[in-house]
Amino acid sequence: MTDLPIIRAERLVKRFGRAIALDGADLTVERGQVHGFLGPNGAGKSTTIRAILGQISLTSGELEVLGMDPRRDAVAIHHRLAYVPGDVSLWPSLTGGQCLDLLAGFHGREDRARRDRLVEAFDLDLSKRARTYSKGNRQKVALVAALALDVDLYVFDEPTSGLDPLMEVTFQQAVRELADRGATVLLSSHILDEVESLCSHVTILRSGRTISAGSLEDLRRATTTTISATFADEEAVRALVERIDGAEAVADASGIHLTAKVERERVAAAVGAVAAADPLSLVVRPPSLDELFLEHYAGAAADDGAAR
Amino acid sequence: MTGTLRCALALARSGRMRLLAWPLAMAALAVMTAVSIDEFYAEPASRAAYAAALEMADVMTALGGASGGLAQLGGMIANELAIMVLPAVAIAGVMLAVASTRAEEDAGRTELVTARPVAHRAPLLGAFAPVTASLLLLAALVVGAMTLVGVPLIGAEDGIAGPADGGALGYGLALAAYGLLFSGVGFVVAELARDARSARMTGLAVVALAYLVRVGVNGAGRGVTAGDDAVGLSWITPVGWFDAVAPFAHMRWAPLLVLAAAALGLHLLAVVLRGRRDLGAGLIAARPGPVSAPRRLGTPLGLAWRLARGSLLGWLLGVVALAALMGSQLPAWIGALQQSEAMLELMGMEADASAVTNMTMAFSALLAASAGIGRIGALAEEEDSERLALTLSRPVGRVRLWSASVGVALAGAAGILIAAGLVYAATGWGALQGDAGKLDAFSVPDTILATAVLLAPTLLLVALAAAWTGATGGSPWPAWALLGASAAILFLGPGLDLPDVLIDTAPLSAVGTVPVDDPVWGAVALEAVLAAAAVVLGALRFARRDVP
Ligand SMILES: Nc1ncnc2c1ncn2[C@@H]1O[C@H](COP(=O)(O)OP(=O)(O)O)[C@@H](O)[C@H]1O
Ligand SMILES: [Mg+2]
Repeated sequence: MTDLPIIRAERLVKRFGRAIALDGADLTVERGQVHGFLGPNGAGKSTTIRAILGQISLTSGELEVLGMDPRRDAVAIHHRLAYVPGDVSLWPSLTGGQCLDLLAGFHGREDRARRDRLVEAFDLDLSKRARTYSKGNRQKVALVAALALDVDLYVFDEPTSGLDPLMEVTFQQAVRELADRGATVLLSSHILDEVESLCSHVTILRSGRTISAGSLEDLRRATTTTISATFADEEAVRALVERIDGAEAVADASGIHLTAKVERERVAAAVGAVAAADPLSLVVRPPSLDELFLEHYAGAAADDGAAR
Repeated sequence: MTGTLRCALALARSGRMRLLAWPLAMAALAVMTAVSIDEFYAEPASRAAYAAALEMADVMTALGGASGGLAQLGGMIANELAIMVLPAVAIAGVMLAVASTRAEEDAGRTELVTARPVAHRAPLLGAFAPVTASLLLLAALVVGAMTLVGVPLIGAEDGIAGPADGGALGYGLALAAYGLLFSGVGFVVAELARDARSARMTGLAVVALAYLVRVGVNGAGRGVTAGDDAVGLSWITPVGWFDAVAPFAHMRWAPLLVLAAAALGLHLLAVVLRGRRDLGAGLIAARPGPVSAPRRLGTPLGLAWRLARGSLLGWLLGVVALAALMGSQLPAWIGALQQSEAMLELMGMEADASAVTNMTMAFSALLAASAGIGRIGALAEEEDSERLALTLSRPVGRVRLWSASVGVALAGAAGILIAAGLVYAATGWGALQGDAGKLDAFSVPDTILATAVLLAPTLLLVALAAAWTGATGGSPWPAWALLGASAAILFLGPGLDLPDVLIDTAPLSAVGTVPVDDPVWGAVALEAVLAAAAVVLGALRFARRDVP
């Protein structure tokens, strides 16, 4: 049982009429992972999540959640799952507290003390009518409703898009607690800092296809390190640009700046060569997550451009 | 199914206003009608005039009640109620069904709910319960109103011939089945349509079509009104099935069972369709549209028109179809009127085309005003969904934006009424060619006069809606209430002997029964001034108040 993935999605395809939302997406989330789910807008993240929730039927592909069929066994799965959508809409005429009660009622059980703690932590006024809540406050209600459940799998679809930085920290704290408890989390997010600080694993989707999946470490390893150096001597730079693939030089008043993006295996050699040329300054930067994603996202833009 | 009860409770709680509003409005109408009829016709002997008047195929039985049984109090009440209750209950069924399913889904609440341990179809089954309860309550309250004045629950009144198994209960059952049939229509179109808005439009179009066909069938004397105890062509629409039940004349169980079976079938169909559909998407997939908008869409007027044109065109088609039906059948209407002298005496009308003209144009005015108020309601929705705030963040003056939307609503309502007038005049004139005898009382100028006079109450109702929404940002329910009340007074006033003050102040009847009587020009002028004042007031308030 423990070795079964919590979510196993293979070659998911989903068409809405003529529009293709998923085009062979794969996603594997193992027990206990905090799994980041990334991709440009329209990549198919929400569609995948809605398939996981059994809210849509797939055109083709295999999908198992907690070892069950998300369509047929929706009720059994949902007993062990909590979900927060990116765009929360509540019952306008009910108060925040009533909305929480209503949602908890479906599960039949609720850890009241935990809920109270969360309400406190998220600084939520439950006596207000949902009509008067801001987007962030509606989001907080949905977060509290989900986090107050003690379940195996938490699914968040851009859950912090309306939260202020303080609440964002509260959310991250809550997710860490879930992870400590051994729960599994699938977190679709655009906030890279959030993903970087929370997630052990990520899956990146683009145009309905999985383009990258694995642990953050592996992913970092597969991308380039940036070497930047400033020289006084033009001759040395020219030699380096010839020697190192992907190196570029720009001159300005403060000197000649060399920038090179180098794959992991060639970092040592490249740094050695640059250092040997006696630069005025030398900076070696490991791949940041931002760059990592920009690389992938930019690919998506190029793809779309080609398709049109 | 897991979660059905909870879904039902959630809907009942969050939608209790609309779930109660329809039954209570219909109950108020029923009580008012029942009490007045009882006062007026308590003596069975006095009912002969009413019955004789309504004998078969006249204008009243085409638009209103067609089931006969007029020797009984219950039959008379049912007959008076029909003109309001038949369209209203059908509309209630569609609106309640869509509001409880697709509108919840469009808002995103169903997504939140179905992520809980809830069966896939539970939100739909959970919607059946409150909607059905609301419609059953509606029927029960109407039955209650009837028994209040002494209509027997089961059987005929003492000493008056009538079906022993008919009575108020039979009427209530028929009304409930009729309402459930249309809530079934609502549930089915909610599964098919792209979104709640188009589901509502499609559902209302089905109601309009069924009602128009029924008016045509009855007007031509081909339905239950034919008088030979046959159902005739009434079987082709659900409205006709309701007519055919005739709980105070025949109490036919077959059409009642057909209504109930069809209602059940539609509900089951909705359940089957739900199993084949993705949450948030209709079975009819959304089509991609143009990637760019014409320049004029970026102007207040262009935007207002773009948002309004679909629904205004729908109303226009419906109203024009009604006008054409009335106009082209004019000889038949007049012939029927001439056979019912007693009826005309009762209503103080002549047996000529002017009565038909008045009826047609008043009905068209009512529908045109509904179209306009509907647009103002859409404006309130724009504000509620914060789209209005987004538009206002652009360099657009508030008054300009507001005036554009209200202007389109007013112009749309006026346009619909004018189109109805022209189409009725043209078709009526054409139908009466070669029938000089009947032609005298019909004239194109008369129709145009009636149209022009009725523009005042139509625009007043829309303007009041605009003032309310402009000032509060909320839905223009007071205008809907006033529209309902003035429709009730207009149609039921003469028959029910309502106090003159009511008839003289309700917007639609205050301007006079044109062209039967001369217009009350003072009222027309006053309404026009009030309408203008309401528009200005709404604009001023809107310019100053908070936009959430
Ligand atoms: N009901 C629908 N009908 C048509 N297209 C849809 C529907 N839902 C999603 N799509 C399309 O599927 C693609 C993926 O959407 P989504 O999963 O929401 O992306 P994201 O990764 O931003 O969450 C988008 O191109 C979107 O337009
Ligand atoms: Mg998304």
